[in-house]
Amino acid sequence: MIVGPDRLLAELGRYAESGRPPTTRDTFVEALAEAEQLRGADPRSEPAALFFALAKRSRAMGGLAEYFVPDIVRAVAEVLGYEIDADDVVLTIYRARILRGFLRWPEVHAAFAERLRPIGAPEVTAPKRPR
Amino acid sequence: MRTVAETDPTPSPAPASEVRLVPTPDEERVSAALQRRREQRTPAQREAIADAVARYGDDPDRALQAIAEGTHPLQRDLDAAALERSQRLAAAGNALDAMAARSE
Repeated sequence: MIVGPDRLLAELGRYAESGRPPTTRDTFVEALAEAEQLRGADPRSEPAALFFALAKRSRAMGGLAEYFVPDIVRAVAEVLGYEIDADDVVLTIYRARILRGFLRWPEVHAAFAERLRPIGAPEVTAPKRPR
Repeated sequence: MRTVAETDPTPSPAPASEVRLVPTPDEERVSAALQRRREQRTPAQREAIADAVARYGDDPDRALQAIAEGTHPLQRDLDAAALERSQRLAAAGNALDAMAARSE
């Protein structure tokens, strides 16, 4: 994974008014271990894997998860050369369903595979029907 | 006599459990990307997120219900098509999760 637990903890702290992250380093050690396993050898799966692992642990981040989870996943995707073609509402839907425990990794992986595209690539639109 | 570690020039990545306070180049790029995201967020967007946290906290059921109804604060800025898409996605998620809950 391109970010480690100390960086995640430091970045989360920047979102807190107090400057102190509301969770512990262990939360991110566990999340990154899970994400790494889910990602396997495919770096393109890294944003989805990180999103899934962090979304499951949203409660440990309190209200900051609402800002931090989508931001960090978009930032990681950007550094890997991708953008996520989904607004924050869509990511909130996925995160809420992961928190409920019913949206599982294969579905999240598939959803991100559809929505991840190289930065600068044109949006994919449905082909026009021939008249 | 030199050990294998001394003769092998390939650095091994630090395990996640090892404390690493100096950011790697990738981590610096991630930090910069996050900084841009925070700076680009408009006051209206910040207010919408704060409202969402205040209303729903970490209750995914209420958050999804609000999105399905089109009343979630994050939906304020959406155009009509995106609003409808988000409502459908939330409603479909609610239906799928309810089915999964029944079958457990």
